[in-house]
Amino acid sequence: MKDSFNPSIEPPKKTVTLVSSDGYDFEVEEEVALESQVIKDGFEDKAVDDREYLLFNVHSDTLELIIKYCEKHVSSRKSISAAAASSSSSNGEEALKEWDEHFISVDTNTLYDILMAADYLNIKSLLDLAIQKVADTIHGRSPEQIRKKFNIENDSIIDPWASE
Amino acid sequence: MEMDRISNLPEPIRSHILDFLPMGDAFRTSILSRQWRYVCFSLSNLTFDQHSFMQKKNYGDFADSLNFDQFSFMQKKNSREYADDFVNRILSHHDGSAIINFEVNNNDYIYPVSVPDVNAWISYAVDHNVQKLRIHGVPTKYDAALSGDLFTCISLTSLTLERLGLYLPRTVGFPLLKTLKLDDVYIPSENSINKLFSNCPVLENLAIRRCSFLICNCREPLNIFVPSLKRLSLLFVHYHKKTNISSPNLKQFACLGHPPDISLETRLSLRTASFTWSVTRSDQRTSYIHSAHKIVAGLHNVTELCLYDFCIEALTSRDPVCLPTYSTLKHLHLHMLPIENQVQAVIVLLKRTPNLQTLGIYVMMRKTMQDTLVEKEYWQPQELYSVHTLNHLKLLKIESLQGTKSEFRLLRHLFENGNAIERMNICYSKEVTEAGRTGFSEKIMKLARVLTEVEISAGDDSYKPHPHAFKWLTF
Repeated sequence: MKDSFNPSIEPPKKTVTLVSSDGYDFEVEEEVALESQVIKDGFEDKAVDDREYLLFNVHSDTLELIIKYCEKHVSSRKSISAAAASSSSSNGEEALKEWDEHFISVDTNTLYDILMAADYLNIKSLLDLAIQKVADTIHGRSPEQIRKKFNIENDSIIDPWASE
Repeated sequence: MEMDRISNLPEPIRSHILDFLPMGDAFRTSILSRQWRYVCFSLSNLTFDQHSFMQKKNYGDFADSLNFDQFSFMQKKNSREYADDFVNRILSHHDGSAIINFEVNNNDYIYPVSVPDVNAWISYAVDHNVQKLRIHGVPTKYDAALSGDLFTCISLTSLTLERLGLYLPRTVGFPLLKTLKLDDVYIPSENSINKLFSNCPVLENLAIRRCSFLICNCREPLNIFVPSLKRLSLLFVHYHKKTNISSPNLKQFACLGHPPDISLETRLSLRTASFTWSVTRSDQRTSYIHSAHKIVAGLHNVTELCLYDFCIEALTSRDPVCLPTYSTLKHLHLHMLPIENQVQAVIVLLKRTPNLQTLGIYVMMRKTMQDTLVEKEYWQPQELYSVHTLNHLKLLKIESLQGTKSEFRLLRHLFENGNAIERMNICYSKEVTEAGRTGFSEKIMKLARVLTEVEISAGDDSYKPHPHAFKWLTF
């Protein structure tokens, strides 16, 4: 029956509004916003009609990415647990890992923006993902290579490398 | 030029980045620039791997970067002294923030780290509320045992001890310990292992592997009476007189060695079980078969089960009617010999698994069966030929197929009764000739229903123990 699929029967999803530092409003589903521990912590204290969060440290470009990440994680968590309930085999977790890998493959500036935003909003899985990405860049490189990669100016008084 | 953004990240974040790196890389960042100088001293993840100290280059960098007195290093003779000195200095520079993960990894058996030094490091870690601790390869002795501080650490949630002798102090207790792993640990007989986990109120994961404790004539059995325990893995714990397990919340259990004595409650609470038992002495046979049968017959709530040949053999030793119906069992993995006895035992077992979804069978080579039992005369349980169905069996995987008549009989049985098989995966043993494979495959294809997707390949024979038996070692 077609009628049973009518979306109007479903109750409207609760949403919250996130406002970026440059003044853009993002309306997201409640459970997506709750991926952020910071929002979650203050959530119960806020009135239902006042669910608006001003994120002074997050630019709209970054916020868009963060919301994309949270939406993906909320939806794939649901599909993974649904697959587990019906005990059908699924490679949902692996697919998500692949998605994460792809998601975090961004230029360094964007990576830092994501890192700072994940720290600010306290989204642990995203913070770990971004930090792992930075750590991978440092791993196995010599100090000189790291300086070059990250444009770090060597201002040490004694440079053990220069003396060699 | 682009901005140096990484150096301007807040220090806690930079410290967090370094926690994701090996120690060598983490400490080398201190020479990047002034802003990086002290970041590495707030690491919460300290791993001292002696192998890396051997590489002078790494070490020289550390020494330079930490402004250590080069001269004092030149006088050191061996890696042990390098390592000891290095760790002592790192710890003296550490800013005192909490340590989450602390590891000492000694791979140098000629100049091993000294026990008093390791004890000083352990005390430091314990004082800084260490949560995860791993000690590998420390030459402890009766008069040079691991520090007593360790065994009463109140912050510890995970403890791993490897390749050392364990001399327990009088007081042992870990109020927050959730995971305990002992690998290749020697526990002298005058010292009871039971004390180690009897005072861990929240212990959930316990793995004991290759431990040679109580070798000699000690009368005390290994008693695992831990009410909070959820996962247990006992691998190659051969030397012990007897093992008693009573953990009414145990969900997963992997055991390789001898069948232990498991309490009724524990058997009922088990969800996932993997048993690899073998008989090494003929006089043990009867008692082992008895215990094995008792355990397998008592797993009323198991959902995933992995059995190796001795357990299958044990099923034939008694009246099969006393096996329960495993109505919750969904996944079954068997390592069996291609002999009639075992095929029949498997068929009897399959009759009691009405909700089975996956069946994996690894056919073992007959030459690897020295320590198993002598083949008995064919055993023919009466109920063998009655009709039943495996209505939910969807996936069938057979590895190292030898192409014998017994195997064919088992396959025929599976296809006659499994009317829902969707996929079948068959991998022949290397020993089977090309012609043998083709002939056998043709026979199988005749049995398989049209809807079944069959995949046949020739595999290598390298003995792969089923992963399920070992996966809990890495929890």
